[in-house]
Amino acid sequence: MLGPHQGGLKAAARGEGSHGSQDPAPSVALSDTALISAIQQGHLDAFELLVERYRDRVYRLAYGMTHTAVDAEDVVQDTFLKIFRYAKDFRGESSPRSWIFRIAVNTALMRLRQQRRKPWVGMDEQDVQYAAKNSGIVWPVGVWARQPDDVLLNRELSEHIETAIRGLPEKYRAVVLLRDVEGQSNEETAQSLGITVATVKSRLHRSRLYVRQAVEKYFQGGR
Amino acid sequence: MSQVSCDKVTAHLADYLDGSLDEPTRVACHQHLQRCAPCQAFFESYAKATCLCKKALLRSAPGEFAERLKINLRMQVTRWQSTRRR
Repeated sequence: MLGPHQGGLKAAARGEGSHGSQDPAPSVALSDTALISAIQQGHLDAFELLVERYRDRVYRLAYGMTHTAVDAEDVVQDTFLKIFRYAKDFRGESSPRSWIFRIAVNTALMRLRQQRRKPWVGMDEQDVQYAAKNSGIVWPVGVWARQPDDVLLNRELSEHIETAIRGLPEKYRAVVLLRDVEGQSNEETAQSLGITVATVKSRLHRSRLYVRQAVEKYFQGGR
Repeated sequence: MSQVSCDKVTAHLADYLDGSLDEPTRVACHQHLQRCAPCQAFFESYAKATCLCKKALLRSAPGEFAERLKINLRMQVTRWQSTRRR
């Protein structure tokens, strides 16, 4: 979709990132902040570039939170619609990436809340704390940890890990997805979730201990 | 921090793995891991599981969804804009 402001967007791209006579591809040249600024002015093509840039990341987060493709797709679509509608409210107080993920997480949580009619079968917070506390050192730890990733990670183990993540409470799951999967910093993750950095660290560590225990169990044959 | 216990090292694992410990604590943890085989093995499994988790959860949106999303968003955004202009 190339909107009526395409010329302006290209000019913005040239102003921000062009070196020499060749026009850069706008998706490369424009920063996230510049794209949101262009969306605030009604540039539909800027919106499409932002969607292109974040679609897979938002989908991954949405799928990780909801665990079904149908729900994930709905969350992605709702997230980007909200981004377009509320772009005018973005003041740059957090990074664009944190802001986008905050909208995505809240949209996923809302989706999950609507589904609460279904019985909850995952762990509650006490379970995670218990699992973390009791995942202490058991000697000997399996030799699997010294194997290359591509030797270890088959479809069955991937599904085992996904099942483990699905069992985490949502607020722990969101931290793992933002921090370890999307590679956000502790600070960005805290901004996205509206919690403190200390809480991010605490939830991340407990979640990692829990995942470690699940993987260990897998290799011990307790699948 | 000259010496740390196994429990302390376990508590610091996330920051140790992420490289966000202050230097004295990092050195203390590092030295402990070098001389404590169970903690070293535990750290290796913690780091490996974290890495495997990331790889297991990496996925892209299905190709046909990407196209559908583009069309749906275009339609809804255009409709929303025209409503606002009225």
